[in-house]
Amino acid sequence: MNNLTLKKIPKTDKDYILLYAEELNKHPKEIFKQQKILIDSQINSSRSFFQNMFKGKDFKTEARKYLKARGMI
Amino acid sequence: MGKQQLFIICSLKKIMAGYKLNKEVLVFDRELTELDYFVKSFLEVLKKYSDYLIVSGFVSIATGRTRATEDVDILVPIPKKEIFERLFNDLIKNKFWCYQGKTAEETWDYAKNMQNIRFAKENQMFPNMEVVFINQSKKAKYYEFSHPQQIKVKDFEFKIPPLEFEIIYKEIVLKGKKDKEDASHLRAVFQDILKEDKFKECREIIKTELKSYKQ
Repeated sequence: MNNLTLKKIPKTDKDYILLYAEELNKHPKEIFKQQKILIDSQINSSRSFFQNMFKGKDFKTEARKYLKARGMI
Repeated sequence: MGKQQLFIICSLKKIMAGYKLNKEVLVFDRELTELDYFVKSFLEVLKKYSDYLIVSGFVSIATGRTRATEDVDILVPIPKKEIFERLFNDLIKNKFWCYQGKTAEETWDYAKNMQNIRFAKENQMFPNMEVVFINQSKKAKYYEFSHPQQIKVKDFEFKIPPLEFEIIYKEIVLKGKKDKEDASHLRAVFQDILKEDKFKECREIIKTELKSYKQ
């Protein structure tokens, strides 16, 4: 139904999303492999960042203080 | 071209797109990410006590969108207090911690008042599961909850909203840049299977709910 393909040089963020979706449809294995690297990297970096930030302290107590200070809880 | 040849070509096209539809289940051929393992471990506990529906960003990410996320939104019907306590304690036993409170007792008021609560893995801040409590008064949310789409990635199976609902909800309710981009991603990736009549049905349900909020 929706023939969403990109027939121009990508300029906007949306153009890049469509280009990415096209590539995902053409080369799913390669794209999913790259996606996994990025997502795993994000999670590992975040884990490492907060563990270092609260090193030697009670993680949950410090985390709740951090979240409260930012209005997240 | 014979019907059989056409069927083979259509099936190949779906596999080439990174997914296939197998008896109404969207099957993705990819490895699990750390984010998938996190959601999977949460669902393994939750499913013992409650039904659920995973919505929003994780739907786009699980279907290939490459973007960062801090939380995974999950709809859960408000449980009875006793079930909530058992679920909460089981999550703690399985090394989750709750942002909002240390015990089920101090967190129950959030659930009772339909306020979201979040769980992360011990010694981690992100990602977290943002539990959104629902009941039948939330018409649009209850509709998506009652019409789940099954997804399978390796041995990880979970439920998401109908794709058309997810797209329309992001386009006309959430409307943020990230949400509109997620919707574009879903429209492009699933262009072969999205149905116009389903869009119409979902659009009407969402618009009716929006109108009721304005009144």
